[in-house]
Amino acid sequence: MRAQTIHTRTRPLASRRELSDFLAGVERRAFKQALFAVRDDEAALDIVQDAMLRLAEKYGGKPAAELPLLFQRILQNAIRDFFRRRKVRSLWTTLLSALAPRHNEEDADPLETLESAAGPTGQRGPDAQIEQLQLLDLIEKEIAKLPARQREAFLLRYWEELDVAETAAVMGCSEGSVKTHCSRAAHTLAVALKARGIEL
Amino acid sequence: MNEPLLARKIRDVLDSGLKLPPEASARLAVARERALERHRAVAGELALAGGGRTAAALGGPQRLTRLLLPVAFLVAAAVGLQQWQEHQRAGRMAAQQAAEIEETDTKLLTGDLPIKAYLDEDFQAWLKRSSE
Repeated sequence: MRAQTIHTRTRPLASRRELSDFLAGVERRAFKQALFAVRDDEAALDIVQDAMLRLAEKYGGKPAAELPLLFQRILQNAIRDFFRRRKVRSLWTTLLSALAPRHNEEDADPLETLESAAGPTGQRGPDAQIEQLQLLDLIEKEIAKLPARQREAFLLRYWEELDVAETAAVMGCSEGSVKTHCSRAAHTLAVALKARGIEL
Repeated sequence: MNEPLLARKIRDVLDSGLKLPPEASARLAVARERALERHRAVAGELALAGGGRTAAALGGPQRLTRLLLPVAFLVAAAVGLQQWQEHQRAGRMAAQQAAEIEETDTKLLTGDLPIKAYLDEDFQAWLKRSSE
């Protein structure tokens, strides 16, 4: 991706088609990333929408090859903004709890929705499909349980396929920290899967 | 544990779960369209800005207005001051001329004017002009 970025740096503006293709290609993974973090479908969709609008508004003049890194940075910031706002809101909710009924957003399990909507996977038989869906459910739950920074590093590095330097730039930390986060995340996931008798 | 290998297998599993519920897919499509509309609007603004590079170089139309407004005020003040000074000078000259005529009239009435003055043709002409 880095070489591509340098190659297209002189291009002035991502075309509408390039931006459309980029967003269409990244939107579902972006939604899942947000969902792993916030565990709320609506909030995750809002975060992705905000990130898309910010990208189009602020960085519409950037070359298409720079969009992935910029979008990931915006998306991660939008997720952090969500937690900041929720922290402030929960403070007010605590203060006003005597006047307003408490609404627990954590009760809903967003992965249940995904479970039911996952649909058939390829040409596998019913047993294999069920196994695949169970594995997906298990992995998504384990990823959602990871500490935020480890999850962020692991998904950026291995799902978005950014290199270590790019991941560090998006996360605003050192490359060494990225490696540490990724290593710990992978170790935690391997242990969790092994505990369920699954070896990938 | 081979971290890259494990990560690749996990990525494949995650990719298999990217089929979203129809409502979520529809919401994402709407969000994408909004972003594209915004992109088109921004691209249009950038094209318009190309025509106003001077304004942009000075920091945009608002900043240009902020710079030009005091300059216009200074020019208007300078023009006003110059006109006021001309008006004052004309007034002073008129007053001086009136004083000279008054002095001559007084001398004529009191007979203090030298006899040569009555013989001077230029003085006669001046008196005629002043009395008109």
